[in-house]
Amino acid sequence: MFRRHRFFKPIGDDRYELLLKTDEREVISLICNDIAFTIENDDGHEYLRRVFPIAHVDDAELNASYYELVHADLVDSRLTILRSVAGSVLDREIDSEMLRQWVMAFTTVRLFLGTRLDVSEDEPRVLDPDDPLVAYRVIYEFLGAVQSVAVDLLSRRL
Amino acid sequence: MKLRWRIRASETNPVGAEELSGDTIVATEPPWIVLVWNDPINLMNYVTWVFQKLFGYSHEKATALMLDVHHKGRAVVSSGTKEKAELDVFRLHEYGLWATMQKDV
Repeated sequence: MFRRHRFFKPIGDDRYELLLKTDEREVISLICNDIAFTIENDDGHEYLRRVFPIAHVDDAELNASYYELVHADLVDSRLTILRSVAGSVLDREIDSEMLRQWVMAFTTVRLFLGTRLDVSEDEPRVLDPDDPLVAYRVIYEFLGAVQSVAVDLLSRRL
Repeated sequence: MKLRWRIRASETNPVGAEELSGDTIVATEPPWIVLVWNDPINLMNYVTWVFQKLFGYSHEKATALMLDVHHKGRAVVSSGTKEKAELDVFRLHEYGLWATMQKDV
């Protein structure tokens, strides 16, 4: 779907030039701020269940304990990264730490959108222009393409 | 962060070790395992990268675990004390992977 593979250009040690178009940057900023708003105002939202998963398969008491232990930290972490990425989209270049944050923010957004879209392993990746959720699908696929390139770049640094 | 404080407290008493109490050897609690479950959203190269980054696994081991997750539905990615398992699950959740923990029975 997204055949342009160069969303980032390595420019020396630990620096990456952002090759995204203006409208792509705007979409990233909007969706990150939108999901941050949802988390901040309704962290029990049904489409956030994969963003804040359970830690024990069949034990409500242990899950409640885990929730008490980590949920506030997870919320803070997600909000910090989503806003950090939204604030960096107009930058000319970013470092590997910010690139890592982009990857993590895109994961949060894709978990939300993938849950909203009820994404499954087997479904064909064909856009239906009549689908009322087609805009979400395009953003989901776009962020996946950008994230895949970013992960490949980060993997070279391990 | 509450979890980071707890894991430091547990490092002096690792699971699997035995405690000497006079002439008696007392076994500590069984270890916990951390499982990562397949999901259709996270990319395969992303899951591999997370395993390498969080656990220091080689690319080969991380890829094998990712493929286990993908094909078998889940894979055990770490084990240890309950506190270590909680921390590992938390870190995996931070990175958006669906991880759970359970006693290794």
